[in-house]
Amino acid sequence: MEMAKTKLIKDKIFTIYCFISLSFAILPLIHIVGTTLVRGIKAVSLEFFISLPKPPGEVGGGIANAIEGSIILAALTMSFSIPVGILTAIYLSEYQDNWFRNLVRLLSDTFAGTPSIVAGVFAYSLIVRKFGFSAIAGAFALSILAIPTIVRSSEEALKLVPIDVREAGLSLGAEKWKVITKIVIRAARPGIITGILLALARIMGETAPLLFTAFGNPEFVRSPFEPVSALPLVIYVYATSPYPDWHQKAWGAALILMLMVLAINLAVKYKLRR
Amino acid sequence: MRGDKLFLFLVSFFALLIVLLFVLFFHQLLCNSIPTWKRFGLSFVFGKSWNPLRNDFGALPFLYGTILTSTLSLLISVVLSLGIAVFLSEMAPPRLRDVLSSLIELIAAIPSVIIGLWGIFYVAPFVRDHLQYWLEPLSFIPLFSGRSLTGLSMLTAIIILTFMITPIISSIMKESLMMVPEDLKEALYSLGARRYEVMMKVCIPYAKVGILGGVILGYGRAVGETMAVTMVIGNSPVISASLLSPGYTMAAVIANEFTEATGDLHLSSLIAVAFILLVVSLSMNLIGRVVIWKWQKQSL
Amino acid sequence: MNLLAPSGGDLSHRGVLPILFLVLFSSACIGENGEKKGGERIVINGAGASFPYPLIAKWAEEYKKVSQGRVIVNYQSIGSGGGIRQMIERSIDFGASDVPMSPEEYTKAKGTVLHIPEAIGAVVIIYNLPGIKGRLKLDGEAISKIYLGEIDRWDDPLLKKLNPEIDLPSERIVVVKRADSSGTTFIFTDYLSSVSERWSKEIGRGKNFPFTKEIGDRGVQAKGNEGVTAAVKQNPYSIGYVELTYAIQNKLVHALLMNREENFVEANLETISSAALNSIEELPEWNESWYGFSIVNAPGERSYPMSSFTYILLYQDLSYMPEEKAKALVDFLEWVLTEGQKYCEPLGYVPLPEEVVKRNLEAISKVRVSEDEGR
Repeated sequence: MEMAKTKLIKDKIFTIYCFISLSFAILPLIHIVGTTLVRGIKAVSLEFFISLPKPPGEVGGGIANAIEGSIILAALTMSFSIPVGILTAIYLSEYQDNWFRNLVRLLSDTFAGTPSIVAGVFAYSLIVRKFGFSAIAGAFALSILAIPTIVRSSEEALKLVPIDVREAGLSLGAEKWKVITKIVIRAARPGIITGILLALARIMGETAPLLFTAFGNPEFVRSPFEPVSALPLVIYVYATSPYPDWHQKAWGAALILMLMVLAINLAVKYKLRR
Repeated sequence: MRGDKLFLFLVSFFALLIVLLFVLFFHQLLCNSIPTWKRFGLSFVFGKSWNPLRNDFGALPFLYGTILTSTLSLLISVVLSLGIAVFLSEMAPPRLRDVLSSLIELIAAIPSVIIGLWGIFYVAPFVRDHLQYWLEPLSFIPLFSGRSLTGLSMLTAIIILTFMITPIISSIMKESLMMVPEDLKEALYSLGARRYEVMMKVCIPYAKVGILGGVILGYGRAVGETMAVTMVIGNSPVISASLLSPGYTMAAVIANEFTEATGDLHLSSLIAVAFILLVVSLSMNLIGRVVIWKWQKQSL
Repeated sequence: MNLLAPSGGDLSHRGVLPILFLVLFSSACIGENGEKKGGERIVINGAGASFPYPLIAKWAEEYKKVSQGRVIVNYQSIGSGGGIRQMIERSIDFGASDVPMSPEEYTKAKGTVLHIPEAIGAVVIIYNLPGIKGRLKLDGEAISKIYLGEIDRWDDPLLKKLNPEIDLPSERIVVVKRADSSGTTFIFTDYLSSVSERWSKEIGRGKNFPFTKEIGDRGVQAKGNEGVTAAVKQNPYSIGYVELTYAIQNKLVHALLMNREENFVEANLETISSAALNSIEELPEWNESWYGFSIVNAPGERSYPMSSFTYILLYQDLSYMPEEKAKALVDFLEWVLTEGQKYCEPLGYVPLPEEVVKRNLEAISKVRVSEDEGR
């Protein structure tokens, strides 16, 4: 009886510990999202979305340059990463494995863990030295982070397509590449798009690689060879400044960024459920 | 058949592009840091002083900061993640499990800079005005000695990092635990075993390989984390035993000093730090993946 | 499901993005060429000191109006060290620094770099003493001892002696300095080197300096003038050094400093101008090195001892950039030195004396904008 009682107590403690652990994760999450919402809403207004920033110390203006910059960087990054990622995934999944394919897979998986700041260093030494601070340089750094993700998720999606589908196509006399592009990819599309969306959500929130590539710009940008601003950059610069007006804008930008990222993640989850 | 050959050529080309890209990546970092290796050799890694003015560079303060913050946050996170994983895999009804799992994964989706923003305005003042006083009774331990006058300290960074790596560790732990065969657990419960016994004595050992993989991946993530850490750690290249003093990590020093390193040796030293950081992160990532891959094979 | 039905779906779906990329890319090329034709939008990129950042940002905004939206100036505050470094790399079109390039930095540059002072400012000592009325008086010795760690509490006898009417608390002093390579730090250390022998011997002047052991956990490092301002604002009993504008914009009280003639002065238009005017004779020629030049601890009854010029850096030979851009850059700078000076005062900077403007315009006239000779 004594042992049973001790066990009961231990079990209760264990259960409590599990609850506490859970709350140590969930409560801060609620706090972060809540504060971003509450403090960010104060900054949001029409002016916030469509105006350019004012010189430091002056109140007013907005972050339209950062919104445009984030969109441009995302477009550039994705238009480079998606083809490279998907085609490489096809190379890995649709053909016989050999030492080279394994090498590609290994490299891609390993570099999925690249610290984002180091990607920025690489982009600086390769691109900024030749083209200066630019959206191109920023997109290059972000691509280093996006490509491994897209390769891995696309390969997985492609591998999930049953072999019979391919065999059916081939047995009907279609060329292999047509089978791949018209049938296999179409079948794997949900998984591929999921991977792309997740990569997109990730790179939209990255700051470190942009610090010395995209560089920042208080104006609208007309060419990818110009320096460009971005939501995470603006959050960082404004948060570490002394101006209360800028602090408020940092929260506003954080709100927009968070909503975008969470929306993409939720869309992915919803799609997966179908 | 010609279409096939062209297509194969196309996809091979892009795969090759990736290989070249990453080889170039390594190569660039190594080459651009050669002046530092030439000047200091391997002792750069253990050099204690980082003084751009005297052209004296040593990576130890950053290695120290990175390893200390990552390791301690890993330890705390493992404890928390285990509790979370057990709760989600054992105690929660399926719908609640899905909701809570999604919530926890959402943490990983929050951009690092937003967590840093929250860290500057909430966590740091909390540490400065409250937490460090609660820890005062423990101040005989060097780790908790001293006082932080600004709240920007290694302790704050550890709190932030713990929060950031818990999602990945807990989700892999949860998956691992869910792989334990139901019948095994049923049998044990029907014999009168309590939950904590089943967990501690059977499930966790069963899933330990997967758990280990998750832990290693989480460590790799902590090591490479830049923005949130640099916004709260105080950015001071000192090696101090106290968690309440400011510190510096490899990622943070690169972020702060890269654009302004005027001296060639300064720049090459920063790139050397980037190289070390890359090697450490990638190794963690590689080892973690191998471990998880082995676990997946094992449980099939 | 008819698997082989022509769908055009997937390849075109995947093809959309590369096409988008090509479109963007080619429009970029057209954009680049457009700049050469003139009448098109020109973007000038600059980076450097945080000291003049509010002023340069204001100039950028006003010049955009003056050029009717044609010329965009993008300035990023990354510290004087950063400005110099990016100028050496030539990854920006102009730099800004409070400290002239050193001989080593000068030789690394890809050509002659002109130093054009664009305004005069001052470094002030800000502090956060809750509940204290009146203004702190400090002298070089006191500041130097605080930053060396010798004085660690606000009610130190030396500080009390300088401020008999102020009831100083016995709290520990939180000492804030710049983490990055900073011209503001250079001015600060330049001043301390000239008033404190110990400082001059142990630390000297430079764009950065390490905290001594005595500072211990009372030391805070922050990035940019912005960071130091924020740190002092957020931490009671702290002290820091920033450019005057940051103190004004953030409504932070700044100390009265003892100048060379042993008067306590505050940093303002009058006292900074006095420092500048009393040092005019020593201005270098347009093609000489500015490295030894400094107006710190200037003579004059009402001179503020931590005043400084702040410099725009640009290559004398701009033929490496498109001619339109080089011309726009030169025009912008000429505007800055003439019309632009009226924006200095409202922001707390001191406009340039006539003599300096003349020298600057002379230097600018020597800038080469195109491969063919002259302008």
